[in-house]
Amino acid sequence: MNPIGRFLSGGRPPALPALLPVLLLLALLVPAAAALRAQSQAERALRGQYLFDAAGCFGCHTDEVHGGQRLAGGRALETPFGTFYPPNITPDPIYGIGNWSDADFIRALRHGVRADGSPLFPAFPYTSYTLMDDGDILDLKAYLMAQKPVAQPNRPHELKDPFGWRVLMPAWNLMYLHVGPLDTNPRQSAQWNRGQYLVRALGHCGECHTPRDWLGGLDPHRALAGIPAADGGEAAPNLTPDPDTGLGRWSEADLLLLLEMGLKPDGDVVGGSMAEVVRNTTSQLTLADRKAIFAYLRSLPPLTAAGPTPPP
Amino acid sequence: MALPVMLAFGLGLWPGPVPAGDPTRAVAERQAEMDRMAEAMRVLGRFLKGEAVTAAEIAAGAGAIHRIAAGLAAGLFPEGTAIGVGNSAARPEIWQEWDLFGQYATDLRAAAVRLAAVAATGDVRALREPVVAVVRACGACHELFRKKP
Ligand code: HEC
Ligand code: HEC
Ligand code: HEC
Repeated sequence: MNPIGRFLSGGRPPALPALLPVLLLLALLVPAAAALRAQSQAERALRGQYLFDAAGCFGCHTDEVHGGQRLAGGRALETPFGTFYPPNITPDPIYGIGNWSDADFIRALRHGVRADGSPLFPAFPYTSYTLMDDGDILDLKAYLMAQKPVAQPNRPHELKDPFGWRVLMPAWNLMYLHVGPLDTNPRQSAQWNRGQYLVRALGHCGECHTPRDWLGGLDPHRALAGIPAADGGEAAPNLTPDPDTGLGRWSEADLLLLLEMGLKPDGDVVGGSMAEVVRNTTSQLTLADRKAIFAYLRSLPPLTAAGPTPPP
Repeated sequence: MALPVMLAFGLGLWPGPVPAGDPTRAVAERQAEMDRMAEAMRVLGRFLKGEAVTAAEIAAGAGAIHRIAAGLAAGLFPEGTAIGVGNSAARPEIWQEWDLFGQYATDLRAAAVRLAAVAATGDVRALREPVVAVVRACGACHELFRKKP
């Protein structure tokens, strides 16, 4: 039995000389493990960068138009419920999320809960990000933690009552949050499943293209069927393959071109928030991922834009 | 009015906004010009998608965009034609941030000049990059200054 084994089994502690080779080995292994961890964090951050783009975190959390610092807090998000100011998500330990643990971060995206336990508002689209898997969420965190910390305090939201009452959020979540991650559909191809993940989890396309009810919940029967202009807020077109009001007549090349640079088949160029989505998100995706989005959207049941809600 | 404005623009200056004579008509005219640019873009889009397009068609499209882009300042966006007038989708920020708006118009014009120059050489393979630059110039302005009513 070696000295360590004897020590563990309750024998007399071994003399220091006997321990020396072990200590030496430890001295070699601990920095090696740290280096390995650092390396894996760097790898994670690299993967996280792609997810960061695909999930469009930049646009909301950076006040680009006013020259705000990267990720240090967003521009005003005007909604029917009031104005939200997305917080600082740089790794600053006081003003940002530098002190958040892995579990805190997963909980925020999966359940819409802050590190301090208070509920988040769904103006942060955790209702979509909840569908991400843990590995991707941690890659994303590694990327965020590798960004420059900025000591900038958050600006409070300006919300109408009762929409500014955080205590109501758990009830809202019971009604509208379908906790992920997203299940793979084994009857569909890998490309289709990737497309579903890009559209529903990362790209959160439904947050703008699916109509909401008066409490701000997404209407599951009208997923991606578009929002008519009359609804207040920003109108968004139907992404289902309905030939008259949706993308039914779009070829794969048509959609690829739109996702790459915003050019539509009729020669118009998208504006408003979709221009930003194209610039920050869909133009950054690989061609394979853009094709996966097409495959998924094309497979959806066609819905008529702004038509009556079909029975469930 | 239009001539001095165009002259100023030709010199690379961005003139101040002019008041609209008939705002509803001004909106309709401007949208018709935008639609003409889109018509030209449709050809360039077909080119980007790898469909058969002749060099002559591309040159015609580039020429149309160039001409309209150069005229953007010439009264296409008179004051008093923001969202609320007719079916205008022009955000009021256009007139609050007039110089910034002018930069986007100038960017499009510069991109269109380059596109027209490359198109004139007839070298279709060299066209992708200047076409993309024009699309980006359209999108950048629409992102900030156009809203679906
Ligand atoms: C549509 C805009 C939007 C997008 C896109 C968005 N966020 Fe947010 N985010 C917000 C808003 C608004 C809040 C504040 C919500 C609140 O106060 O309850 C927020 C809050 C957060 C918080 C909580 C911070 C804190 O201090 O409470 C984190 C973490 C976060 N976002 C990370 C991300 C990440 C990571 C992404 C990309 C995967 C992302 N956000 C994308 C709008 C957005
Ligand atoms: C922040 C809100 C927002 C998000 C997120 C968003 N979109 Fe959009 N999208 C819009 C708006 C607004 C328009 C209309 C823009 C215009 O026509 O000027 C639009 C237009 C489009 C169009 C053009 C359709 C047509 O008929 O003209 C397509 C295709 C599209 N979006 C796909 C997507 C996909 C795919 C995603 C997810 C990866 C996505 N969008 C995410 C707001 C959004
Ligand atoms: C300098 C800013 C700017 C640039 C550059 C620009 N646009 Fe526009 N565009 C606008 C604004 C603002 C509107 C809304 C006008 C309105 O509704 O009165 C608009 C509207 C449009 C429309 C809708 C017209 C209608 O019938 O309602 C089309 C199509 C269009 N633009 C195409 C283009 C194309 C194609 C390009 C590039 C070749 C382009 N635009 C470049 C600002 C711009």
